[in-house]
Amino acid sequence: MKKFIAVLIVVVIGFYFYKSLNYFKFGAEREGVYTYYNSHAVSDTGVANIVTSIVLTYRGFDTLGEVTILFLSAIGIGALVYGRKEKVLKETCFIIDTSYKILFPAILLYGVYVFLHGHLTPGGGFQGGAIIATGLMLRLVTVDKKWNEKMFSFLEGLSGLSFVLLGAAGLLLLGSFLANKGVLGLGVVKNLFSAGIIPLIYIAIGLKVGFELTGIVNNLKKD
Amino acid sequence: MVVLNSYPLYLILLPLASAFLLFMLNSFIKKIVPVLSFLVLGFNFFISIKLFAIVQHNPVYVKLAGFLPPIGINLFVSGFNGLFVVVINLIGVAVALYSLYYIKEGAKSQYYFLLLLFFAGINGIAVTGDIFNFFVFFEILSISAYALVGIGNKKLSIEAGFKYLIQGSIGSLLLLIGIGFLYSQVGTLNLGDIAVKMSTVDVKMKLLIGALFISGLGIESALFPLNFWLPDAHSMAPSSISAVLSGLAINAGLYGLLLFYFVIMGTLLPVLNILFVAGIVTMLVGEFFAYRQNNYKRMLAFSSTGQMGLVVLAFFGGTVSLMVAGLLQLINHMLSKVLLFLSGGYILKNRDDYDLDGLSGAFYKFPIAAIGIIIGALSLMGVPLTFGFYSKIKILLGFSSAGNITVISLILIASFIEGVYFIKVIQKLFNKSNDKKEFKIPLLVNLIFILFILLILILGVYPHLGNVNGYVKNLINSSKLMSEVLNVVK
Amino acid sequence: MIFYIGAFGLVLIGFLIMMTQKNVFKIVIGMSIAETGVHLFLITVGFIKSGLAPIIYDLNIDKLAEIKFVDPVPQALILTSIVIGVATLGVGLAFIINVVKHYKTEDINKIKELKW
Repeated sequence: MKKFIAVLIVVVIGFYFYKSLNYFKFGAEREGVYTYYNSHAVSDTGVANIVTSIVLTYRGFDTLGEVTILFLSAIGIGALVYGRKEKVLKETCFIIDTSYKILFPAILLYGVYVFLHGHLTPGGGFQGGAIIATGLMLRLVTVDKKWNEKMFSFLEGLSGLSFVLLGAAGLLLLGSFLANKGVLGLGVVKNLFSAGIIPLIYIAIGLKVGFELTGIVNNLKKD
Repeated sequence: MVVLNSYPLYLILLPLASAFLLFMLNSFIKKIVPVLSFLVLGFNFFISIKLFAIVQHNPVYVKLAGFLPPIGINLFVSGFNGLFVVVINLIGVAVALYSLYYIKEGAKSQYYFLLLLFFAGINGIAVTGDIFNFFVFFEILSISAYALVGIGNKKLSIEAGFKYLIQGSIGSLLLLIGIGFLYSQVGTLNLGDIAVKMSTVDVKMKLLIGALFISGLGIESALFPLNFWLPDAHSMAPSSISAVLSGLAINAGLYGLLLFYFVIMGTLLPVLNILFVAGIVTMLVGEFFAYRQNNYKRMLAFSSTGQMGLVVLAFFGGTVSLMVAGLLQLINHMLSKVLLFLSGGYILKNRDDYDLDGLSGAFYKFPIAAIGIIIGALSLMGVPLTFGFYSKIKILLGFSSAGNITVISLILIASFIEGVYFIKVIQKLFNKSNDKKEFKIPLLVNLIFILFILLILILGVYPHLGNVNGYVKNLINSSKLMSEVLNVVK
Repeated sequence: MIFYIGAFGLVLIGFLIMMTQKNVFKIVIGMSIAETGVHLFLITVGFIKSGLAPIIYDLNIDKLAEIKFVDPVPQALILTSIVIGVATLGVGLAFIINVVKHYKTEDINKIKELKW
């Protein structure tokens, strides 16, 4: 009975969505704010990746909210599994132990490359952070050591605070939170050292996301 | 004439930055976290009062990242949001002070971080001027609420929190689909700009977007067929969190509905009727089920749904005076419900089941807390000399001048049921019992109760919260005011 | 057109899973599938025919206004939204760990101690 009602609701919703497809013209040119972003991103922010300029400058406040949400979920999971002990691995697999020693530096290098070049190529802080987290999580399953929670909580808090401080520097010097044009100078487009404070923010975000995701998995692993 | 001022930004940034800072210091000094959180929320309250003084004359806007809207994001505060922001931060200070004495064990530091981030989220919802920004802060609010419900790690809290999470994330999905539809039709995300461009959108598309937004926001603001999560979540959370959820989180959903309706839709009659009917049904169902409960907090949770139905009924009733009455009833509910949860929660502190029998004889053991329960209950019922009387009479007068006898009789039936179960509670307070007093209520906690009691009584005799008509006109004209920000000279 | 149908189809499949499955894990996975569908829908909204990806490869900075790029705003929106989805999924999984520990079953129909 319940399944029948569920299927009925889904079919009705699907029918309305199908009828609304007339209003979505696939690929048509629309008017919107994005034409300004496309033509002025380089002159306003000095980045070569327009999506980065939107994520970090034009809609930077949303990125601050997003960093907060990830931080929030790490705290929430820590609160829900409070009081549990870590399970220590009794035996580890020989294949993973050996390949870990080769893979871990390569994964870290790739992750750092992705978030360091966020303003030049596709990628950025969140993607690079996820790659770093993969490498660190590999460490969790192999090497028989504990995850140093205190040190990594301190580093997470420090990265989050540095994001807010970089934005506040814009507030003090230019009168707007996260303003970019006057704080550090824009440099020449397509150089590594360009685009003002954007690479610095991405470094902070990348490290924060990497440590946070590993902390989440470590918490979920507890007994 | 909109004015540029940074206060709304500080309201959001201060709890956020202090949460990061305290998280860093938590590894070394655990003891300072509660006191510092209380100081931060106190400072927030102080800033919100200064902001309220400014918006009495001119709306305030903040441009972020140095770009004017619609290119950048902006924050926008008019008289309407200014009032909300003051009440939100007042409740924040009270709950932070209460938690210093109420939360003694378990994940203490994490509780304070979640509380700080919850207040950053709800301040963000109240001041934002951009629809995706609203969604992001709405998610901050929801996720911290899910975690705070489950924080005691008791069996029933975990079940309540899990069901809240599943239903809340369905609501967020629907809201995100609605935002996607809206963006595909207008091409911009700024509220003022959307209001200007909405006239080019087809009527059928407007109805579809309206349906998505109402279902998405209705889950969070507990309208009738969508509020199955509410009784469990509000009753099984720790008492300070029940106060915060009932007083603030459901109002965030309602604020979203109001923004959506007045800024984006303008007047579109079928929407009006659906919300009106939903308000009536929610009110009746909520009060009816509240009468059947024996658990104090579950009863108050159902009463929250009933009051929410009454507020929605007043806001979508059609005339300006009804909207003013709805706003006053909303403020009354926020203050009274927080007082009821905080005072009752402290009396029932050591019990696991929050049963009504735990309140017997409370008047002789904890007089100030018991008076708090009495005043809160009288204010929700609408007894003269309390603020609730003024707001309820205004609602009834508003409907009588429109000639709507059915609605008046339904409201009176709901109020009668409400009166019955609250009088049951008040009678229990005066039962003589021979239990010895196990603990004393600290002085500062009693001061919180006294503050709220005095606020409700003073507002009952002198019900002036500033220019309330002006605030409601601000809400109705929000689309014009927000689009004024677009034309500010660079 | 088929892209829209595919994205909506994922959303509907996700909702169907959330409403009909009994295992708590499957309900949470259904939520994740529905969110993936919504993200795909948002990206499809942003497509412009014969537009380039919004990254500047050659230094024709003067002629920037004439190059046709696709809409970069939905891409930024879903970056944020994917992270929100991951965060909700994480909190949901932590809840599941505690639910299974307290109730000793994974069947959602047996987790019904709170009644009206």
